[in-house]
Amino acid sequence: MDKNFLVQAQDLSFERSGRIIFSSINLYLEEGQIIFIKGKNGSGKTSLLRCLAGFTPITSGKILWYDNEVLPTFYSEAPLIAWLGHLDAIKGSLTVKDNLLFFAKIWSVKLNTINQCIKKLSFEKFMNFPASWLSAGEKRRLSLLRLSFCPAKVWILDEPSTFLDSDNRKILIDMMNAHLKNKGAIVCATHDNLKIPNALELTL
Amino acid sequence: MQNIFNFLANPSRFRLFSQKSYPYTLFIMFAFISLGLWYGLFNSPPDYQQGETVRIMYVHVPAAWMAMMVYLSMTIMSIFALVWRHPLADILSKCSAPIGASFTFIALVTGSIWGKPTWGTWWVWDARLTSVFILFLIYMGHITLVKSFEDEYKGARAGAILTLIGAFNLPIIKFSVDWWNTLHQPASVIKIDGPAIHIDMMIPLILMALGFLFFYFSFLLINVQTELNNRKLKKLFIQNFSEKN
Amino acid sequence: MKKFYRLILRDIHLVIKGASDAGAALLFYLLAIIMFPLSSGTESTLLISIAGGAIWVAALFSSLLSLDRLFRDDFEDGSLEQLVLSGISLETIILSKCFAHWLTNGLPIVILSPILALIIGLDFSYWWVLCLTLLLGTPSLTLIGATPAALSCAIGKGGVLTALIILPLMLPVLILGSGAITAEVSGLGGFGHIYALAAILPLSLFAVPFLASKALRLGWE
Repeated sequence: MDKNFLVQAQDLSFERSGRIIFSSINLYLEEGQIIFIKGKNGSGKTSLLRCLAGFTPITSGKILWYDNEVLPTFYSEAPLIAWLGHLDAIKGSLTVKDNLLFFAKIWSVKLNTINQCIKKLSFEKFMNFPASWLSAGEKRRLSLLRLSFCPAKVWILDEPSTFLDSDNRKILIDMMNAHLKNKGAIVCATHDNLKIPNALELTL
Repeated sequence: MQNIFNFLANPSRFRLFSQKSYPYTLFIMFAFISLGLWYGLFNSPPDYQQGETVRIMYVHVPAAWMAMMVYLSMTIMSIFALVWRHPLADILSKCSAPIGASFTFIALVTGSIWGKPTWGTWWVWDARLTSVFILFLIYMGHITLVKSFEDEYKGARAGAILTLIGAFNLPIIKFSVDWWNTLHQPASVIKIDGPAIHIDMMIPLILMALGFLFFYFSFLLINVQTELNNRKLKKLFIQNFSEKN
Repeated sequence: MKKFYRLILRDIHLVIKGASDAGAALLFYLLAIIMFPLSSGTESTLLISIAGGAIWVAALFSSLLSLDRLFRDDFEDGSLEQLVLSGISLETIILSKCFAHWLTNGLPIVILSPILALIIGLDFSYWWVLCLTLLLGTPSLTLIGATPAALSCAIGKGGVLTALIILPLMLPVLILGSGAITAEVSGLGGFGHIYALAAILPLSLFAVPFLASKALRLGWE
């Protein structure tokens, strides 16, 4: 059984200031798979995601990305993951278009792809306005837009449905399904009940 | 050597080790300092130019040596902390800083007191004095930085990073008297050709230096115990009284 | 390489759009120099003897003020997280920010220095030392301040603490820079100082990305 795991987490435990946040966590993710991380507030969902991405070092255990011990934050060839965290990473003083174009250039994404994604999320009307004029929900949608053209195979999402109304929630779920169909994989921490077929679950 | 290193890397074993050893290091410190002071104050010759005021050298020079030595050991510990993530290294570095700062302060003050009768001035901004003053500022910045973190682990690591930035200052201090024309005298003891100082003055100097070294060891061990105890206390509080579980 | 330039262009774009305090820092540079003639009376001979040092001090304070926010804006809004995950090494990001900072702070300081020399009365024949030392010294100032700026991300706030840490580290550059000017004015020749100043730059270029990246990652822990 030689499955090709995109991410493997073996026996992870994480301690901070003497508090054990989580322990004995195992996670194996293949292409086309999604795993939901569930748990109460403070159970360590965000910490687990940040450990997988490489922002926070784990106390013990091993994390392998594509069978390699190099974590996404240390990998400098190409984006290994698309990260949607609590922070927007949107520069308010730049226009929406400038915000998107910067990442498009950094990730070497074709202009065509960007335009398609903008159309899909009906964001055309916002393009030339300063990003600081957007509401919280619109900023979230902007992050989702950016997520949609990120070339990385694995998505790590931390509470992606915050600030989204029911219509936009549907768009999010459609995006996630499309990504999975495209042989991508998702690790998603959420309180919300996002209905995606064949989803794995890990409760902290 | 590697085995002792790994053995002591465990915080609770190190705490035990320091609890047992510090009375001995304190005793050795007292022994050396007493011997050193006796030799220095009573059993060594006065300088033919400076007279009795030269005796301040027996406090000033060892203090200055220790000021640099402590920073050097902090630099080595910081490298261990940052490159190999040694669990105790940044704690040792953090706990050394106040001791190093104190030695630097003593060196500056005793140097100033010595300077007045010898040079005619309390202070001059030559390369040696300026770079030691910068060392003092770096120590104080280090202590302030580490204190400003709520999380002690992060604070100790931040201190390690700062120590490494400031390490450039050490060679400047050491070689400042050779590279620049300074009022401070050039190196007389730690030189390539060997010490240029008479044995009668060398003995109390070495004794005081050893005494100060054991002062460093003793108070380092005491400080580390305090730090480890504080962390343990916080851990116990969180485990027993905090809202989770 | 291309990513390096894109990062720099973005930072400059942000400065133009007013998202950073680069302009304020330069105004402060001009303001700071005025304090010297104002505080020491109108004795022009006294002023000329400290002119080189005064300009250097003003340059130091100006870069000190703008260094505090070097990483913090991007750190706090999550942009730094996105950047480090985008296939760019953290060290490259750090160097690009330092370069952008120098372009918007250090280089203008060098260019404006003749005006300041005029205000404070430094003789025209020594302007070349002033500009040369500032040109060699300001990149080092940026680099030296980068690690404490990264540490301030880890603390979560900056201000006085960052300044307190940066200042002692910058003192050697100040001493060499203004020392070169004083040496030239007094006829002793400032080239020793200038060579030493030039040596600091590659040293900091080598050490700073490593240390600053450790500090930023500490902030993420």
